[in-house]
Amino acid sequence: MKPVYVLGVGAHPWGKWPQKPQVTLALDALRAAFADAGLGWQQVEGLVAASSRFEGGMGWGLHANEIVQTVSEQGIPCINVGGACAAGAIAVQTAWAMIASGQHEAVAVVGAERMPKGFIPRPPGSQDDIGDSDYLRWVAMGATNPAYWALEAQRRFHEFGTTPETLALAAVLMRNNAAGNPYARYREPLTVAEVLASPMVSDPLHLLQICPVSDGAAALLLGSERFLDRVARDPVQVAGCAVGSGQFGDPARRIPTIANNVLPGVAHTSEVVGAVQRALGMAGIGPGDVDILEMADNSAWHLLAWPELFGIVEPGQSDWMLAHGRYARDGDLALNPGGGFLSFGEATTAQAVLQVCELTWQLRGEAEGRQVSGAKVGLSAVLGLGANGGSVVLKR
Amino acid sequence: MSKKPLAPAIEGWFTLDQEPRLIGSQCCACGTYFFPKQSRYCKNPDCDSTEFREVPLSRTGRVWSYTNACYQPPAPFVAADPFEPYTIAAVTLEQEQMTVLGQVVTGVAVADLKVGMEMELVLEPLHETEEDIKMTWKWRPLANQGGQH
Amino acid sequence: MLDQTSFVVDGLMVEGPDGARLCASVCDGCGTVYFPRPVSCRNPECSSKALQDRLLEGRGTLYSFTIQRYQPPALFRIDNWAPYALGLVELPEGIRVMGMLSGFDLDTIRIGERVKLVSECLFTDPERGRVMTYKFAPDISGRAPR
Repeated sequence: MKPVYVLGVGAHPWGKWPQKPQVTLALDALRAAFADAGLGWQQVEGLVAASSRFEGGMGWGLHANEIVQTVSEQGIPCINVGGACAAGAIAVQTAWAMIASGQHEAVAVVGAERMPKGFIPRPPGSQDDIGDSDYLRWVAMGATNPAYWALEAQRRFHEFGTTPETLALAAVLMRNNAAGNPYARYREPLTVAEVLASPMVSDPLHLLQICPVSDGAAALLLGSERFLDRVARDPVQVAGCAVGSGQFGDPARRIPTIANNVLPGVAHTSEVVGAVQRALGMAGIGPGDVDILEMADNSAWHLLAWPELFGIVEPGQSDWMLAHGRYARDGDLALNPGGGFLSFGEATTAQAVLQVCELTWQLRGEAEGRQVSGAKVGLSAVLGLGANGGSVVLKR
Repeated sequence: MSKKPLAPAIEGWFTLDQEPRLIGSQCCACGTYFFPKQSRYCKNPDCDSTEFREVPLSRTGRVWSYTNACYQPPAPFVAADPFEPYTIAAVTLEQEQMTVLGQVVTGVAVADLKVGMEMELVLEPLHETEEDIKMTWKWRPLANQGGQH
Repeated sequence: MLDQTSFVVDGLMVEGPDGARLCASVCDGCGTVYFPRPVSCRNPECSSKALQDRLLEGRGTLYSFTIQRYQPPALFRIDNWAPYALGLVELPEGIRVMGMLSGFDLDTIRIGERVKLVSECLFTDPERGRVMTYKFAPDISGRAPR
């Protein structure tokens, strides 16, 4: 396989953008990525878009086609990938494979989203019966998404003695990291007391420990060695990348199911753990070599659990790491140095693309206001509905 | 039709004059015309421009092809009750190098049209709401067909 | 109609002489127990995929829980809304099942408590009568199954 590099990255700041259609957010992010690479549509040989179910894509998830039809009809392949919140990672994986195979020299990736207000509505076309888990979980017990994460957090309290204060510290860290990030939506610093004083949503998760939803867009231009001399900076290489789905017997409380079979020896959140392990394996490095972890913190609990699940630290060790500043930007592992989902709000399909943007900025030393000094290896990890997991390893 | 005021079915797509014009845009860099208006990015792959000027499009053009709708389309189309079939034409505007679709005025059937026929833009009611009469553009064969092909 | 009862979703549970039971399936090939009843056995090691219906008594231990502090959105219907506990229950069949908890003091719930399945009214509807769902309540009878 041919080596693949990040030639350019770009993003539209996260927030609420009622005046900007989804396609416009996507185009702004792509334009920024092309400008960053010093290249244009003329050099792009393919576009992979993460399909949104909320807006654009002509209602069929054809977001890549909509984009080229809006800005540059040039006959290139348009590939649209579904994967819910993990769609961005699947888009990166697809573009990577198109270049690594030798078929293409430069492929753009984009994820853009405008989220509906409040609870995410059920998609059209599902049946109101027992065959649809997303119906069952509402009518039989009113299980919200935060309730799923809360069950995991409560279990962690029981198993490892995690305290409400430590869980709050995770949210505080994300806000501290976001303070200098112009792309983040929530940048006001928080204290543990403020987090614990925010309304309880699902015990033990408070409002400020749950990621809201936002509008945002992120884009990448990936390319082969051929373009390296045209990009006048230290290259960042896609050293590993993988997607995966869940394993039977996974103990994670998977949204929106109401019951799961639990088998011994199966990894928790196996779709993400599997993807991370394969991405690290491809890069030829171990979990201990990771300087920065960009991970999907849908709740504060995720920030404690996932570094353990990936083998970066021992099970139960995250509490100590967090309390001792070891997950901060100047710690052993910089955890979401840009502020994470908790400071951005999730713009579902854009999120995993943004993770790769942030890792690129960090590895290049261009993450103004939030730079991790001397970082050489970045790992991303994301989870999506349908037990989709995705992970990317970037190396400088 | 009642005495309700006239209103465009879609705001900003055409003028409401005696001699109506479709409102398009033209790229300031490469000169490509767009309808409906393009305002952020030029679709021409060889052009990076993001600047456009609003321009009225030619009022006349030639039939590129035509057909009719014999069955009632689904919503959001607002159909007359009972449904009346209507004729559709694709008309090429010479200067803009663009083909624009539209209904043909009431009373003109497929049998009345020929490829290359000269057409002009007019406004006709599309449907009536509580408040007003929604107008849209339609194509009408020019009375005096000059250079027939 | 108000003396009539129905379940919140068809095929979820039954109410027999011995109380409420969950409608589950067991795979003839690998013995995996599924709830709710699936279209197929999901075990990648299993090639049989032949499912039989089975009713679960629903006695187990509380694996985790949370308190639902906000009223969930419209699909969820409940009379006399108040914050309630939602539990994750480990059943001896090798399956963990989520469900509302009943009969617990919200401030003193503890992981590991023994629970049993009960059926309770969620809301009353003019067409459907008393609409029931399953819940898990403290199992004070000890561990011997009936």
